[in-house]
Parts: sequence; C-alpha cells; structure tokens
Amino acid sequence: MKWLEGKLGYVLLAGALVINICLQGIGFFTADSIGALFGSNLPLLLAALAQTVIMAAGGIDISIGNTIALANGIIIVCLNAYGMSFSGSSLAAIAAGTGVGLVNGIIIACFRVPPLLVTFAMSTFIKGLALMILPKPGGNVPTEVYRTYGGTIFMIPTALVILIVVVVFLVLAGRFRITNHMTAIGSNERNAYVSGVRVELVKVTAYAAGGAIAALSGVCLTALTATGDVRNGESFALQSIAAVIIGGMLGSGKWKNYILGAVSGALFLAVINNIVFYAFSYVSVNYPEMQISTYYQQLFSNFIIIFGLMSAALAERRNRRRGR
Amino acid sequence: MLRIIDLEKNFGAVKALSNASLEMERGEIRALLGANGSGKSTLVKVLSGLNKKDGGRIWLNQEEIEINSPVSSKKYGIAMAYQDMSLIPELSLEENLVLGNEPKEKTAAMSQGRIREYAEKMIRELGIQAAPDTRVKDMDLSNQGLVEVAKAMYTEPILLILDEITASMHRDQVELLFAFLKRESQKGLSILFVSHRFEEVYELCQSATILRGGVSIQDVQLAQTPVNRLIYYMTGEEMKGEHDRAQSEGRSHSRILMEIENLTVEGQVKQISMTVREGEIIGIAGLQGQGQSEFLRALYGACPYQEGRIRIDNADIKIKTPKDAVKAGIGFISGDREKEQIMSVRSVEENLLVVEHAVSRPGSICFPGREKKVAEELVNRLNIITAGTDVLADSLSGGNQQKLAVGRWLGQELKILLLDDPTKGVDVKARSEINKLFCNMTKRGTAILYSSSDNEELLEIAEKICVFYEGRMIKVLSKGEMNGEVLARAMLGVAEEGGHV
Repeated sequence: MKWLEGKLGYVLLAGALVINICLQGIGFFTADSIGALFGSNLPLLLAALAQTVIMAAGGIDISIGNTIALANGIIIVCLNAYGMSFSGSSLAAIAAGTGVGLVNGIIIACFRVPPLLVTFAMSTFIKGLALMILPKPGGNVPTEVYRTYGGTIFMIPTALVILIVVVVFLVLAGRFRITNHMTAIGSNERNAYVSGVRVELVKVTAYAAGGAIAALSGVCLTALTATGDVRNGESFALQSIAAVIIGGMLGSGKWKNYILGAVSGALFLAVINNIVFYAFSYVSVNYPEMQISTYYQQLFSNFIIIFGLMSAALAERRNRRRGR
Repeated sequence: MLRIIDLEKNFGAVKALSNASLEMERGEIRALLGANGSGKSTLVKVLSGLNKKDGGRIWLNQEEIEINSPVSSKKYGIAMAYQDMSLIPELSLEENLVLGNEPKEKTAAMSQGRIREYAEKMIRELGIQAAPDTRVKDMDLSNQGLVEVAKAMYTEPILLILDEITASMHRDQVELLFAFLKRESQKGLSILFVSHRFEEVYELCQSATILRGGVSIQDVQLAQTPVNRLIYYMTGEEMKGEHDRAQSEGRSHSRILMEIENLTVEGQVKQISMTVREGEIIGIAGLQGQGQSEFLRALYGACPYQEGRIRIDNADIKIKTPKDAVKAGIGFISGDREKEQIMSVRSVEENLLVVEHAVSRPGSICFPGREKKVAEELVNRLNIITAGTDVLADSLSGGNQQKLAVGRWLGQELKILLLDDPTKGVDVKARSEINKLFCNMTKRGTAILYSSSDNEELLEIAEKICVFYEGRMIKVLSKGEMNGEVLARAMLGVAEEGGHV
C-alpha cells in the first residue's frame, strides 16, 4: 500500500464525507451548510496547521489551545476596553501568539528541555495570563466582523476563503530553505545538524510560526463566537494533534503533504462531529422516546477519532515493515 | 596546508585525545590509522565541528582557526563524509546534496537547475546507481555512501575527510570512488582517509598518521612502510597473521547440528540448503545484497521465510521470531551496531546481560551484585575498554561495542551462532580478538555461520565457504580450494558447478 503513505487523511476524509452526505442529504451541498461547516471549524483547521508546522520540525506544542484563548482574550479587551479596531486587536493578538511561540522555541531549542514538558508548563502559564486579561467571559465583537465571517466573499464562504489563503501561503512557503530545514530536522535532527543546518534557529522559527498561526485561529474563533471566553481554547491542543496524526503526515517527509494532511485530518474531525450530530438528531426526531444525552454524542465521535488514530498508526507500521 | 598540534579532547574522565598532531599538504592524500579507541574518530570530529577541542591549536593555510560547529567547519572549507552518514532518508538525492549548502540564488528555478546539474555530474563521476530524485532511503548503503561523498564535495572544500565510508561499499564502487578522489587531489584537494582496510589505504594514500591511545605515534610514507610495521605502530605489539584455523583443522566434526532444506525468502533467498555440523565454522561470502543477510535473519526469526524446513538435532523447528531462535539455541550478531545490536542509552552491564534476561522465566529475580560481577568478568575476558560497567554503551568505541554484542551470547551455550559481518568497521586488533572468541566458542561445540564482506577474514577463519549469488548458493569452496582468486570469481557469479553443503 505504498500509495497510502501520507494519504491516509484523504482516504478517511473521503469516507467520512460520504457518510455525512448520506445522512444529511442534498442539504449538505448548500452554501449555508458548507459555510457553516468551515465557519465553525476554521479555528480547529488553523490550530491543526499551526501544530503541523511544529510537528514537521520534530516538535510538539500542547500550549496551542491556550494561545488561542489568549488571542481571544486580547482581542476582546482591546476592542472593548481600549476601543481599538478589530484589525488592530488582531495584530496585537498575533504578535502575542508569536511571542509565546518564541518563548517556547527558545526554551526548547536553546535550553534543550523536552517539548512536551515545556509546552505543558507554558500552557498553564498562558491560561493564567489569559485569565488575567479576561477574567470573566463577555465582551462584544462589532457586528460587521461576525457578519462577514459568517457570510460570503464572491459567493464563497468567508471562512473557506481564509482557509484557502492560509493553505496556499503555507504550501508556497515549502519552497523556501527554512521549511526544508524544518522537515530535515523533523526527520533526523542529528544528521541535519551535521549537514550544517542551524537547528536552534529553525526550531525557534517553527514554534514562533506555530504560535502566530494559533493566534490567527484565535482571531477567527473570536469572529465566530462573537465574544470572549478563555475556557474555549483548551480542547484545541489535543484535537490539533489528533488532526495532524490522522492526516497521516508521519513519515512522508514532504512539506506539502504535511500541510494538506493536517487540513484533511482536521476536516475529518469536523465531519465526524457533523455526522454524529446528524445521526443523533435523526434518532431523536424519529424515535422521540429514545432520549440520548449529548454526552453520548461526544463519546461516540471520540471513539471514531481513536479509530482514525489507530488506522494512521497501522498504516505507518505497515509501511515501515515493508521498507527498512 | 593543515597543521594540528597537541590536540586535546576529554569526555569526562576519559582522555580521548591528549597529544594528537597532524600535518598535511595541499593535494595530499593521507590516511589516519589507529585502533578503536585510539582517538581517530574524535580527531576528525573536532575538525568537522562536532566536538570542541579542549586544548591544542589548529592552523589552516597558515592561519590559526577555531572550529565551533559544523557550520563554521564548512566555512573554513572542511567537509566530512560520515561513517554513519549525515543523509536524511526521506529526502531525495539532490535534496540531500543541497541540505545545509543551499545556494544563494535569487530564484528557486535558477538554483534548481544548478542543483540538478551538479547531482547529475556527481552521479556520473562517482558511478552512483540512482537518479537525482531517488529517495535516499530507497538506495542501498553502498550508494548512500557515495551520495555522502558527493554531498561533502558540494561545498568545494579544501580538505575532505572520509570517515570509514568504504565500509559498506561494493568493491567496484570503491574503485570508481578512488579514481575520483585521486583526480580531485591532483586539482589540489587534500584528503584525510580514515579506514581499517589496509588494502584500500595502500591503494589510495601516500602517507599516514597513526594514533594510539589519543596520541600521535608516527607519521609514515606508505610506500616505505609494510603492513606489519603499521600494525606494530597501531597496537604496540607484533601481530601474527595466522589464526586458529590450524586448530580447527584437526577437529573432527561428526554430529549434524542443523539441517536447512530449501529455505526461500521471496525475492532474496532461493532454495538454499545446508548441513551444519558441531563445532564447524562455515563462511558465507558474496557481494553485498546477494541474500546472505536475509538468509541468516530467516534462520534467526528476524525475516519471514516462505518455504523451507529447518531441523535442529533431528527435530523440525519452526522459527518465527528471534525468541524462537534463541530458545532453539541460535544466536545472532550483526555488524550494524547502531540499528541492531547495541542499546546505546543503556549501560554496558545491561547490554551484556540482555540475552540472559530475555531467556529467563518471567518473574525470576535479578541479583544486582551477581549481575555486576558477571558483567565485570565479561569485560575483562573480552578486553573491553570502558570506564566501567555502568557507563552508557554509547560511550564505547565501535570495536568495543561489538565486543558487547559478542559478550551477551557467551554465557548461553549456543548451538549455532549466526554472524552477519560482525567485524565491520572494527580495527585489526579488536577484530582478531573477536575472531579468537568465535573460535573458542566452536571448541565447545557451537557451530558458526559467518558471513563477511572481508574475504581475507573468511579465508583465514572458515573451514568451508559458501558463495551466495543472487539468492542462490552457487559454489561451496572446501579447504583445499580456498584462495582469493577462486573466491572472487565465484562472488562475481562465475561458477563451475552448483553448490550444496
């Protein structure tokens, strides 16, 4: 199954989409429905992209979730307390996200502390910062912002446009030296170092870029929810990792595959949530006597995610056994 | 052109280099010789920027320099082709050439063209059997070694260091490489060649520096120095060429220990049959990749086989995993230390006791005091140079690591020991010690299947040699027939009759 290498994400996504379409019916293909799918899941998609940049360089970042929350908090405070424009607040948030990434990167690359530990500790620290900035949920977002976000640009849902722009930008970045160095480090750090790659610099850049993209995700989350709530960020960390793994990027070594794999993995998660939602509402509509609590919904979709992760691991194992 | 004086490098309490000096001229090809643990790896790593020196001075073209990292070493024009390679397996040949050497062109398109040109040029000149876009992990080790050299040459260095890269190369590729190196040295490139293979050293180099115990012992001109002299400088002892072959000659092997019938591994091993007798040493020769490795691994349960029967002591045996093999009394040692043999982040003691632990019953208790003693005894018996039994196996030199791999089997009363190039990259002294250990094992009845890429070694130590070619055993050389020429012809596929042991 050599063709499967690096493409597992697409296969799983295709399967999930088919099931979704069956359940939802033709209504799936309306601009509204697709817009909603991308709109509500863009934060996750961007989080997955942030994570894939970092994982391509051989690292991992658990603090992405709370970076998103921090970005959210900063925007709300800038908008409401300081009267800044939305774009100004967004820039501030992205700067903050980049700063978080830089700190992570420096501690990991220069002080040689394992990424899992550093980002875990930073995660708590960032959440504290976010809470300091925005202790209680609340705040308003200008109507034009969330209207635009939920609307369309030239008939294409805004969220989808944003996603396409980011993905194209990242894929083009693959032609540059820095991203080649990132994948080299992620593949075999010692050999990259010995070949003259500036490992520390590249790692710091990867984490900083991840932080920036995570902050962008926070911007979109703010536009989506039209309010600020620091607690919304936490779940993104692990979900983004799951998305990257399901996307099947491991072992392919090609930057473009990493990016597209992350997108398909995140879409898979999104579609699964959709499927489970439709399945459960179908049940509750047609069998009103069966009251299934929403907790089961989560349980079920997470179960499917575990299945997705296992397939990714098995596919990689099969490839490894075939090769050397 | 290059002058090194009194180089010092310590790793904790171990003085890897204490008084190393070296001088080279422009266009000179010099060999760097020394036993394992003599400091030659350390010295070249200082030159390439992986290790920082603790003392001493280095001059390059009359200017004193400080080398702090691989990047700075490259800036000075020093390039190194590494023994365990510095290639990224997932990337293609040309991507690897360029890694860390990226040209400063403005547009990607221009540089892409230049890179492709250079890649093709190197493929031609070095005889690499691959295309510029072949992924390195799809290439065999021999070609990977050539890519490693091409990568080092990319920066147009003034000093090229080759650290044992010929260890995994086919003979014909080595010849092309040497022709290339000689051409480059005439253009002014200085080459420092680290190797254990004396034939190659004499073929390529004009001069040599010998290290022993971290100190430069002697500089010689190879044309005036015979091999014995070199070995004497390297080890401080006179070396005898003769081995225990004489001793094993007298022994009679009667009892059949293992019978292999029609062993087949898809694509690699075709219907090999063999009879193995108690105490025998059967050599396995052949060019690289003719199925020897897969054959041995199939016997050890590390490679699945599709057809064939294995009988040990007259009983049919199914070997599906190494655990089955070990239970049946079969041991295995390969030359690929890093990937297959040594647990580098565990201690010497743990590496030595791993087989004992693996075969003991679950729930049995380990007594630390006893284990330490066992480990210390083995270290003494095998003459392993280490700072203690609880240091990490990583810190040992190649030959000593290989002795760990041998030591772990010594207490096991093996019926059969399978060897896949176990002395690869090991210096002459350790090699002879290890081979003596193998001979001692045969005295106690263990049979050995010894696959080696070093024909000299096989001719000395084996009682008969099976030659593999394209997965078949095309010739078996008995005692009387064993000489270098017949062996070399057989390896190339020229055989007079088929082979069955």
